[in-house]
Amino acid sequence: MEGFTITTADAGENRVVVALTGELDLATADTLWAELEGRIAQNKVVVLDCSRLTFMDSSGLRVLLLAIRKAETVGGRFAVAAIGADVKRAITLSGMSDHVPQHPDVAAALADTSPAGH
Amino acid sequence: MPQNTVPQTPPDPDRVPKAVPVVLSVPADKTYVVLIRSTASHLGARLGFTVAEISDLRLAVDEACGLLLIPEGFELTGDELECRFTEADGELRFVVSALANQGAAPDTGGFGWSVLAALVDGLVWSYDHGRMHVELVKRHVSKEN
Repeated sequence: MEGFTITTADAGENRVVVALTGELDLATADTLWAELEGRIAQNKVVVLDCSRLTFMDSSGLRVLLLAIRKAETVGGRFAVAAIGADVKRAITLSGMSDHVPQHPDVAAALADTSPAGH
Repeated sequence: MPQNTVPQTPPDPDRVPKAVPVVLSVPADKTYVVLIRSTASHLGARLGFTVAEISDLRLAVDEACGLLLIPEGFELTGDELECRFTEADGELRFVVSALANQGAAPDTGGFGWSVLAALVDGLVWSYDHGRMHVELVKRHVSKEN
């Protein structure tokens, strides 16, 4: 079983990439929110790299929605990259897909120049 | 052949004891839900569930446990979470329960409940003898025909 890890990397121009590994669930969601809340406050763009995330439940979805709201509040942008169909099942089934900005990979998420959260 | 390779025997539902449930009692703590997901995966594989079905089953038991472990409007009154898996005719029944205060009810208006309801073939909750229960049924799709 792979433990949950969060690795944050500077992508320049006030942008950061927060990469996750393992399982995002009710036990790990608070840790992610603690990381994202500060990063969103300090950066214009925060991209969540989910390419190595293997599980996400509605606790994870709640964190994504908090992150989107926080980014809107501070005039920044938050986006999700490289999330697998299996992993985003909770987002899809909750009907929140259209509310979570998603990109096929980190490069596309960083390159997106659309307004905050839209 | 490498020595650590064990031949895999295809699951034979007819050989699974049907009447004896698998019961897992864990501390009522969020960090133990991973154990319950693992158990669900194993039992789903035994029943011949597809990879997608096992994935949905794992998410479903996780969400069911979350309804008790992240209480909205009630409090658990004990330290233990009981999970009971019962196999029957190509379906897996899962009941998670915990001691909770009188009148406890899951948050049926939240994301957890709506995701859970979309994942399973049956979903009910109940409160009796001081315990709140959430019960779900996940069916193996090839058994529906």
